[in-house]
Amino acid sequence: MIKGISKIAGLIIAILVIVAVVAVTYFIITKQQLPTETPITSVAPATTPPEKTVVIYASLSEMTTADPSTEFSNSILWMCLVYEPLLWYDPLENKFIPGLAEKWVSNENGTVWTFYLRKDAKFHDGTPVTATAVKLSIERTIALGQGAAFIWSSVDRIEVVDNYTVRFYLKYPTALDQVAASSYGAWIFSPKVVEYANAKNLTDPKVAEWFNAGHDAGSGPYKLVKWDPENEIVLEKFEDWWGWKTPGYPLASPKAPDIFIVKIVKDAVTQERLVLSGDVHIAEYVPLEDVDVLKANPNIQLVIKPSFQNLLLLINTKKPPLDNVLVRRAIAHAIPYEDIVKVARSGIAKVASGPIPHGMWGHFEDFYYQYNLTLAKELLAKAGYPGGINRTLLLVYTAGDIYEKRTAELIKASLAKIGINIEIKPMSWEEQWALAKTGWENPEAAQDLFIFYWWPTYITPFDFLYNMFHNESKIFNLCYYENPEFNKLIEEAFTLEGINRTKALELYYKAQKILYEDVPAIPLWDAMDVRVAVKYIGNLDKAVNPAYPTVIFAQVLEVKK
Amino acid sequence: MPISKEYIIKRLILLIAVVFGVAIITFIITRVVPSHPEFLWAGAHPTKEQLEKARRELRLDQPIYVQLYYYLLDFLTGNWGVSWRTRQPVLKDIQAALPATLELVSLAFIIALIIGIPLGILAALKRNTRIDDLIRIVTITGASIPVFWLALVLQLILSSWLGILPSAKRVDEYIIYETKFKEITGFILLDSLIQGNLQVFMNALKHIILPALVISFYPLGLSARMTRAVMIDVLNEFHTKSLAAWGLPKRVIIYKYALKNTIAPVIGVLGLSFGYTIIGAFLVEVIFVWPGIGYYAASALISYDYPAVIGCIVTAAIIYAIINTIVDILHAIIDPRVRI
Repeated sequence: MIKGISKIAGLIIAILVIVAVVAVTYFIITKQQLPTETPITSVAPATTPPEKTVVIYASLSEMTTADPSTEFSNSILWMCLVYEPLLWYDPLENKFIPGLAEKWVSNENGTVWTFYLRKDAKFHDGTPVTATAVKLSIERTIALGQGAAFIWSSVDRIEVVDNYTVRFYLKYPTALDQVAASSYGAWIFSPKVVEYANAKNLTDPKVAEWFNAGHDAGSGPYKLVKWDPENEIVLEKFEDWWGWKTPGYPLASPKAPDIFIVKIVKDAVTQERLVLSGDVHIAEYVPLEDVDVLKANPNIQLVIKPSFQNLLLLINTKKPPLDNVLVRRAIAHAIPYEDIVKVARSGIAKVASGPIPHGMWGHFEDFYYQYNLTLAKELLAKAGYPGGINRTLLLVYTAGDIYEKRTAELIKASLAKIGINIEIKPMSWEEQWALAKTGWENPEAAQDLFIFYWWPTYITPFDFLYNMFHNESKIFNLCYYENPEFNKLIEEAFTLEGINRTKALELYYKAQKILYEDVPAIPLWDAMDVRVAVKYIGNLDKAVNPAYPTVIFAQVLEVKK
Repeated sequence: MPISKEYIIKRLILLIAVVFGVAIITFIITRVVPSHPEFLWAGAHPTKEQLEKARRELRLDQPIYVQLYYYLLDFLTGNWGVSWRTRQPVLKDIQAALPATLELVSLAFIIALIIGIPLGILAALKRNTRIDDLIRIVTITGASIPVFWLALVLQLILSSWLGILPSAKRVDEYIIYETKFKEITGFILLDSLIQGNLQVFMNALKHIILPALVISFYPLGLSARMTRAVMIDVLNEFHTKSLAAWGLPKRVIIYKYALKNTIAPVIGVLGLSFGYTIIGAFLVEVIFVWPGIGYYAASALISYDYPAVIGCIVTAAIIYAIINTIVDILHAIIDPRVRI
């Protein structure tokens, strides 16, 4: 018996020893950590003279591909720092910022555009950025025909006038300045990639492979040094970038971070926690409910800006009773827009006025629908449904999207008050979209109402109006709306964008007026973007631009610590 | 006493069959489930032509057996396809993610073994006393608590309130960058030791403690419960009792004879649990932003990235099958009765 007890004593001692070892290890760790407790800078070893500043940005989505010609998704987040377009666009000020082109002119018809390149720009491989590089880059994008290549569809041919002048001849007038400032498919890269990839020519799949292995061939302020698209990517300052040496250039800051790390953190709550603990410095996305609490935190700053993403309720205009415009109008007047913004988005959105979002050119303030249940009931009675609609309408939204879910529930509750019953059905985006596409052939079998996000590829009202409402656009016009008059207006407006903006706006206004009266879709809200950062990152406001969604322009940041 | 070659060969053939079976079944399931991966391949706002091109490129326009044929052909040559989201080779992604998870889960199981088995022995020896009750409460709670809850609570207490441990990530990026740390095997703890980079080692150790602790709770409870139950059985068996009758000291009976018989089934159960945890740790990985294979698999599943999904499942099957085989062979070595 005594021996048994001594065994147990031995065990207890063993456990104590383990605990002690863990404790000692812990103390050693904390001691080791002390000198490097500050997350941003730290004492560098004597051999490397300057301190490097690091900024970590938490992205909600993984990075996608790394080929500047075809990438059409999340990788825009770092491509804007590594590659440069001919022009940048500031949509809130409605002005262009020079990129690789210093000056640009078009002829009177808007069919010939000449870009004059700056002479001091260099690619990361040291070769100068020339007109030939511009021509070859854009020609590769067009030839591959993937991603956002369609933005160049008006280009007939590209001419190298001299080393630093490049001219575009167009098949029909287009605002090519706007195209050149696109967030997708407009990057210029070094034609030497053919050599690096050991390929036959630029369209050889080997070039794409070379890019997707995590190489960059850009001219921007940062170089891609680590490519782990699922977890993190690391960008390092390109010291030879012309922007650092150009005084007064708006997209450069002397205190920009030396290292910019994009960390993939797929959960909003985790992002919030990490930015609060200083483990990341900027968060792309936090729960909107927490925004007020974060605003009160003295260590945290928030930037809230318009995004050009909006949410619309697409109506199946070919399925009774929704084929009756009076019914559609009744629905438009029975939606509590203000409440939806307050409840579904915690106020971080604006009630939509027309399908073009706030802050973008082509947006007008004349297209709000009044929330008025009496009017809605009158319209419904006029349409021949005085007691409401005797069929339950099917509303689909993307499963997992809480903003869509809350919006759908509020719409359901409100429409019930005028006698329209709704069944809400969450579906995966792909299922939802596949169902909706069948509506062109068989509108009866498709959904009645569809909650749908849109955002532009480049900043033109045409992108919204064509894709969602032109009857040639069979894959995104999911209202099945057909109106030749509307089509003509937007087609004409598009060709006028580059030459006569005033006239183009007039036509876009008329087109939106038609939509307002026909109600093929009800724009619900325009989202605002929230970026949350630690206090000592300066210029955050300048680093966010709704034309380049999710991007933080690290080159303008000011690291104060 | 060597175990027969036939036994090992039989096990290995079975292993290969299992892996292939899993690959084929998973492939068929992913193709039969209604989904439209061409959308993922073509980008968010494609044109109609681009969608059709994507279908052709992904061979979605061909019958499923043709797709399966090409898949298996590629699979055999070590080409597991590219991720539909990132166009990175799936095999490369998995090779990068696996060490992170193995490192985390191994540490968790080491913690579980070191604490769990002694606790189980203690409970068996002190059967039906207060100590036994206490251990029972602790281990059953540990084994049944949802990991995501435990993870969040420990994070809240240890990192948000007390600030003792970092709340997420595998290592602080700036240290990696500053000390010019290079990845060799992908196991950060091992790599930093090889390079003599103590700063990274300590930083990584500090980061791994919390998630490893969270993962260890389940196997800890499991091993303690198993050890207790088996130990009680073994102690009650006739041969153990006869040892006592022969006057052997209790210490010798417990550690030399009983423990040996106890460890085998405990290791067996833990081994299977290890295989399961490789993918099952994804909740913990998501919460701790741990770049492991569970995190990778979950992201792939959510976005219908089927080559990545199949890759992860096949990897899990391989690990599971290998562990199973090793456990069985070990079992055969320890316990001759299995060796038939």
